[in-house]
Amino acid sequence: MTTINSLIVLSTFLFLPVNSNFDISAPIDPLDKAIENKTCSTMLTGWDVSVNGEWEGNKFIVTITCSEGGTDDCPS
Amino acid sequence: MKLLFTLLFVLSYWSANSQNRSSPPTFNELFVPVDTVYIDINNDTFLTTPVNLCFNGNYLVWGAENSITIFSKNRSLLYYQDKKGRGPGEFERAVHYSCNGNSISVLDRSSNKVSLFRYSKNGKELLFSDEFSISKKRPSKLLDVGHSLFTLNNLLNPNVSEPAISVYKKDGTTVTSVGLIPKSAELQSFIEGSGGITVDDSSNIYYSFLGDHRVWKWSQKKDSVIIFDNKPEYFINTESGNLKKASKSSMEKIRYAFEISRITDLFFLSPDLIIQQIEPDNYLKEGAKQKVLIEVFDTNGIKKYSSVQLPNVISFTYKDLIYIPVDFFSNLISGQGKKAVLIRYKFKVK
Repeated sequence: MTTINSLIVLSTFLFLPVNSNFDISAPIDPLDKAIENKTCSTMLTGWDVSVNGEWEGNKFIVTITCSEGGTDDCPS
Repeated sequence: MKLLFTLLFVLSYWSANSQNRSSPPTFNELFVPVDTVYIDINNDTFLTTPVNLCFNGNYLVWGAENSITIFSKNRSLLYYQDKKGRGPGEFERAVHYSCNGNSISVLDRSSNKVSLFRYSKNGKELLFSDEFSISKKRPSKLLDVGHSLFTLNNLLNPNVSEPAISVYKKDGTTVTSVGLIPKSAELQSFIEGSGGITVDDSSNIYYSFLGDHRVWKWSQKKDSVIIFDNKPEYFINTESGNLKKASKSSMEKIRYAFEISRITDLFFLSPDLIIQQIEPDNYLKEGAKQKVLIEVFDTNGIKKYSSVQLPNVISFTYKDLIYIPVDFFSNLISGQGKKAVLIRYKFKVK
């Protein structure tokens, strides 16, 4: 397994949720990495940003989802 | 004489403090394993990591983000369907499933709707019944109690009060709303699967929010709310100063949400226990390991046990049994054949 397990699903339809997965055990802060690999436009406000975490082996994998309709900006 | 009194005082103080410092009960002291639940994974089974499992006594529902897999009582695959989409009975991002009797309810955060399914008469099919939009409170969780549905809501704008739970009929009509979400729960919407809502055998509703140690109990019959307010020593609540500092971006809020104690579910265990599940450690720290603690109350709010460490998160409770996965789900979904997925435990302390 690579140290950074990144899977970016870019959607051509802006309002579909877009996800980024990162291996939390990687030396790079997964949230910083997620911001670096920004997956949604910051031109629009009103994104709903949430995190889903799951354990794989002894690693905690974070998925950040941005979807339209919330009150926070997409990670910038 | 004075010396004797001093000695007695010191002894009683030491005794009281040593009792307070006594170790919490272990999981094995409170629960005894009953049996193991197996499922058959074959070529027709496309299991992905579930958002949650639920059980109605006959069928085990493996609820994923956009697919439903159902196993029959003998644990063989009964039904699998990819539900990805935005049409009727489809969902893009299910965040919670709730089972009750013949029905399954699914909360879709992407389309902001609840989809309802029911089993066919012969029990071999799952039929789409109905769906309805819910208010834009983007709830965390759903509770199906048969005749109605309850949502555990999120505080999207900390300056606007929101009801803690909303009640809907199954045709989508709003029945009522209850309580107010505490400001300390602002971070709940950022961590999926957090907070908890459950119901006891007398139809009382209990709920908890991420970032707040309390449990609220709503008696539907009396239409009154009482609060179980007994903070565990280890518990870190959301602190308004820190929240303010973290309010510059959603990423800062997410980081802060992992620094506090996260309530990740609430369960009723028949006949009279409420289990509050807490994950207190910061999983964003390098080398972090999963740690799951429970606080056990009776239904009157008396704390029975504190800081009991579990081997894994609870998947669900059914009657007087709790169901705990044997491993992380990511490990359980690989491979084929008969697989042990859950262990059923019974509370053994009377």
